[in-house]
Amino acid sequence: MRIIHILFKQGKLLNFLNLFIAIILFLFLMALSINMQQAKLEVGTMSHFKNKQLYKISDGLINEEDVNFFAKPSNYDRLHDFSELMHASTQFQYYIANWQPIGISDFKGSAIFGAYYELGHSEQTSNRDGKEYSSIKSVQVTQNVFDLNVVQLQQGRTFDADEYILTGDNIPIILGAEYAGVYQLGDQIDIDYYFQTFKGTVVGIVQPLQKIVTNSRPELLLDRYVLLPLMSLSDPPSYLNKNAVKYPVFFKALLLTRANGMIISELDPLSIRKIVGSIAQKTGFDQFSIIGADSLRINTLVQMTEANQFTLLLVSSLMFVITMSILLLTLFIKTKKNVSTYKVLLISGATLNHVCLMISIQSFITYLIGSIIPCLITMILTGFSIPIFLTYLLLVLLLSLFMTIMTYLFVKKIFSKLDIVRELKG
Amino acid sequence: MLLALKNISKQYNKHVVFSQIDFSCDTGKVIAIKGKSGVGKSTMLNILAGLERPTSGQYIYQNKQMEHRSYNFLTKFRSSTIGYISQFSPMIPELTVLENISVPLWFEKEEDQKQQYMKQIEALSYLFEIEHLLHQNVKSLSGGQLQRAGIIRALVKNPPLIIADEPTGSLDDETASLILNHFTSLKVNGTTTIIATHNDSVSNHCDETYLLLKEGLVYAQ
Ligand SMILES: Nc1ncnc2c1ncn2[C@@H]1O[C@H](COP(=O)(O)OP(=O)(O)OP(=O)(O)O)[C@@H](O)[C@H]1O
Ligand SMILES: [Mg+2]
Repeated sequence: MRIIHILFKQGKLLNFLNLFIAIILFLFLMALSINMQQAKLEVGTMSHFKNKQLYKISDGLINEEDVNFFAKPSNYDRLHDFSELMHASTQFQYYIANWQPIGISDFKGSAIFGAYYELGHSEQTSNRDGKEYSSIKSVQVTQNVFDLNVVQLQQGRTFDADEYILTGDNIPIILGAEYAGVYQLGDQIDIDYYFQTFKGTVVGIVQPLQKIVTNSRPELLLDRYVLLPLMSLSDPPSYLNKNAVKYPVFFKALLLTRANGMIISELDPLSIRKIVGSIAQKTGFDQFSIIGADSLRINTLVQMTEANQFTLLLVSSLMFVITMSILLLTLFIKTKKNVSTYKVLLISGATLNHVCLMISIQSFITYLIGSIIPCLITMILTGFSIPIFLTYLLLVLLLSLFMTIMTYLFVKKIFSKLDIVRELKG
Repeated sequence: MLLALKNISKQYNKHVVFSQIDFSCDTGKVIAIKGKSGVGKSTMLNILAGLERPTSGQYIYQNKQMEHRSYNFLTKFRSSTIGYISQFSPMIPELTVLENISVPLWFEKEEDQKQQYMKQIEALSYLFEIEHLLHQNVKSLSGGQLQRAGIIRALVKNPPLIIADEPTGSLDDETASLILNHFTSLKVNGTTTIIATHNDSVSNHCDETYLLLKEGLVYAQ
């Protein structure tokens, strides 16, 4: 310990330089480990959208047109047919992740799940059939949302194909990661979805930090969301409407949601226009427009995460090389300068190997100290995320250990060059 | 007999420093090794101190073979047995004189022992007249003062064997004889001192003098 103490006292400037460089190196390592944890998912996810064209279908049923359109019962069927053909197309994927809060009665979670919590609004509730429902964040998704975004579950399963078809009052639900511990697999939840009540059953819980592309944003973090299958009707709405008079609002909302989707395809705009046009003709629904959607934004996002990771890796490697060189250089200068110290130690009862070891331990300590500040920053930035902390810790330990071993070998080499025993002879 | 060198040779790569050295010495003697510059006096002392190993031959210390031992073993041997004084006493520049002198105690575990050694340091610094410098940084000392500090450092743990390479090179005659007389006074405790020197006035203080030649070591007086 005394020896290490002395080593820290010797060449303070060089020691500080080493520490400073170590801090910078670890700052990059920190960025890298955060990035590795998140971009790993992001790049994986986003790359599915890469180089694909995105188009949005937007219905033109606004105000009066809406009223006029739904005044005719047969138009329900037209809209229904249109959506079904769009979803069934083999030439493109029809993708919907619809942001739409739902009501949950007797809600067990905290305010963070509230539909407008992030906007600073307090919990909102509504009454239906004598029960109070809290307004909760939710997205309704088509089956391809899970595949395209590579959504990972920590428990349970995704929705089965037949669960995307509306039958009765039962509806499976999948919860975001922060719901873990609030609800469990198999729990029954009363849901109000478009003014219609359902019995929800929890079938799955998503892993943390999972993101999806929604119809309105390039990425949505699922942690606080309830996922519902975006259901299709099993029969034409005119038929269903006959039996259940009280459904119209629900049907209308559901049909519109299912119609307003995103087309994901490699085809050019003209071909898409042709295909969709023929579907419109076949079904008799043509009150919509095709918008060349955010493909640019998504492509940029993909490129950015990829570039980020690459740049970070590059800069980190560069920093590593610089750190390494500076470490070796300062070691060389310090070791040459401190020969008399080693002589004293040698004649007073230390082997040169022991001194080597002490110098290596000094480097190790320098690196550990240098890792603390970036570690604190990591913890604060990531809200004390354990996986990121562990990744960072592993990187720090591996790197510090590597540097320590390099130090040992290098100093040993310098010692044998210097021939301290010969120096003693004067 | 305390120690013996039998048919010792030392060479660096192809360069033969000396060969076929035979030497033995008894406990409680002060011995001088003389010889021309470059003949290998320091090398011989380093072998005796366990800092280097001979190329061939035997080194026996108190009936134990030393020449094939590991540097780890030799370091322990040095730490427990030998007080090593080099021509220019090396110092750790960041420390005070006292701290430099107590470096050998870093490798000492027992507190009682350490206390005793600290008293020894005090006594020796009075004897060698550097007690007023103990708390100064070593950088402020003259060559002769440093040399005396280095000698005290070698004597702290009362080693039975003192190996001194030109110990009085940078001292005035008066201080030199003070030191040499101290070595002589240690004989009663059974302390042996082996000194490499060019200087006849040093060898005159010694019980035996040997002359080192390339071909071997000869008894001079
Ligand atoms: N580690 C070493 N590597 C190579 N050659 C060495 C080494 N140590 C000593 N020598 C050579 O061995 C010879 C003897 O050196 P040494 O220092 O022992 O002589 P010395 O008698 O002590 O000389 P001086 O009186 O000048 O101190 C010299 O020629 C020296 O150059
Ligand atoms: Mg010499």
